[in-house]
Amino acid sequence: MSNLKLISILKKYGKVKAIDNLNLEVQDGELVTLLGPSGCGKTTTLRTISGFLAPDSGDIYINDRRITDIPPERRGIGLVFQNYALWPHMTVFQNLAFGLQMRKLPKDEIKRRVKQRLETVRLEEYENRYPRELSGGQQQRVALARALVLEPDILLLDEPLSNLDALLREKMRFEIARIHKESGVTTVYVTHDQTEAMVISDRIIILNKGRIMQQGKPEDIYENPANKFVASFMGNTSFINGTVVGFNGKYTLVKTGDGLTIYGIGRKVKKGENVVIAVRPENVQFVLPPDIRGGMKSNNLFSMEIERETYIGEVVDYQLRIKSWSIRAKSAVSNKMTKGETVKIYLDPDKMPILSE
Amino acid sequence: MFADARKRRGFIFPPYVFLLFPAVLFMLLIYAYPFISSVIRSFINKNGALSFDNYIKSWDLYLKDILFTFSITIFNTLASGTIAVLLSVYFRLHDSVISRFLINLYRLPIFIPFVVVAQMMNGFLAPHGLLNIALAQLKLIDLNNPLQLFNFIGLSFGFIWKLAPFTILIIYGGFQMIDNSYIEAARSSGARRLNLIIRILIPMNKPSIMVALVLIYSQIVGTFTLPYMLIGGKIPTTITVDIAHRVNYFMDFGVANALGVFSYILVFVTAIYYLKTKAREVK
Repeated sequence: MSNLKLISILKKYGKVKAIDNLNLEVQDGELVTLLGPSGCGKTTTLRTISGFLAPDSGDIYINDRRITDIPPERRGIGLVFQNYALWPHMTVFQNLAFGLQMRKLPKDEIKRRVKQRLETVRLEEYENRYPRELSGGQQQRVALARALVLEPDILLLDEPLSNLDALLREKMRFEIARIHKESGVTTVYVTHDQTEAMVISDRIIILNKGRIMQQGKPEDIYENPANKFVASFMGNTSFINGTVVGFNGKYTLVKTGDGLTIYGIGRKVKKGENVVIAVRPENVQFVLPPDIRGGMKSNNLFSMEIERETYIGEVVDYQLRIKSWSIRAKSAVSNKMTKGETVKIYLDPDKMPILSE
Repeated sequence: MFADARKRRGFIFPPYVFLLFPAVLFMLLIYAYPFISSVIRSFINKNGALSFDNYIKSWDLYLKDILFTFSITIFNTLASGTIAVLLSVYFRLHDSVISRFLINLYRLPIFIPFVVVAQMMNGFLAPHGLLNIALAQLKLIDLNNPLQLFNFIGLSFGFIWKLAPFTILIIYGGFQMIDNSYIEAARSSGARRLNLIIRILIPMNKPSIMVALVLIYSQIVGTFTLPYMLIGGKIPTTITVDIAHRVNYFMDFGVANALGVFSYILVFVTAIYYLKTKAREVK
């Protein structure tokens, strides 16, 4: 039963703040993902938690035990690295047993625990193999087992799937989620892959320039991004700039410079404020002539020209243009439209977040 | 095309194999010919007949020197290796002003030739040289009875001073190749410094360490200048000094070649290890 608390962590490299006053609490058994682009401070945060980097200020607690000045080997933290970092001169068994030997556990106990963990990651038949004799996915599972065998208070995973090919990566996401559920260990996971974060996380924390941009459940962040950065980072989002001109019930009315009027859901925006509307491809509905409906829906109806169409397997990806705005949309392959065609689209105002610029 | 030709006539060498000829020819002329020639001559006695005379004479006269050479080689290889591993580990795990200064400093002796090292050691280790005077100033010795260092100790001092930096160069290079994540994985598993060094760093860098040891071992066996200038004709001395002695004073190439074969035997095992390691790397 462990929880992790970071209080006002500051870490600077010269004048650059890699972590800027970060406050974070991870509850017992929770899997929290730090998500962000390169240089956002996610790995620095992880290395600070693990003890390989000392923060310039702030404190770190595990279960109310202050660990800020405790060396890494005494923090009770398990680490899984991007490159697996399995010691090549040791077999799978020896890799797992190493940490237990450091704790001077009896041989029988070491054997029992290693076998149990290898069963968790479904590699019980590979204990005598060397890392070079395993596939990337198997090596990653050994790395995970090596961290878990020590029964750490906190498990830290630093982009553990980024070295794997796309197919294996997808498979391993579910595998990590399963192993986390089985072990119940409090986990901090670092990645720049939003799909990976969505699949495995209980909670996602979006970082940029060392600061938390937004945190919450994956679906909350995806559907209600707090700002343009989050909207652009989570999913494939097009943006339309405009100015708030009024309000109509729960909807906010935005007018673009070239005369388009769009309804959406405003978040703490004021009349006259410059804003962006975040349009996700799945929220762009193609409207066929017999479907054209009246009422509210006629407000967000636009005629757009197909600028580009790309077949990507299960769907067709489009780039649509109206006046100076370009947005992305998707349709089923069976409804494929062609470049140059003019189509009617409907932007559901309930799914059009309007964000401060 | 080559595949067809092979099927018809068995394996044939591709034409680009000729590109190897200059290098192979160089090896044959500079290394293989003198080596084979000296082995053959070591079995030819003064009358031009095949015999073991040269070996019997070498054994009778120079057994002490052969053992001295062997022991000084083993000792200095291990001592240089140990110093190199310790300093390399220090450089790898510490980033401080001192470590950065030492990293820049340690390479200097590599560029100083053995003959200059020998001359320096002559001045430094002499009965009234810098070391004895410094020790006398510290009242650790009486200058009327100075340390006699033109022997195993002085020779080792010279070898280690000259060869440890070369060993560090190879071993530290190997340690630098080990990604930080391996070290961090060990530390987060609970390994303290000693376990980290003994169980992770040294085994992971074993190939570099072994290659460095093989290279300095062979170098020590074959060094002439340092023992010649520090010990000269005193007994015991090294095989290389004896070879020079047999040639310069007696024109006795037979015994000199036999002594040379003893040197070959000393380096033979390590040379095989080195070649095997290199072959594995190529694979």
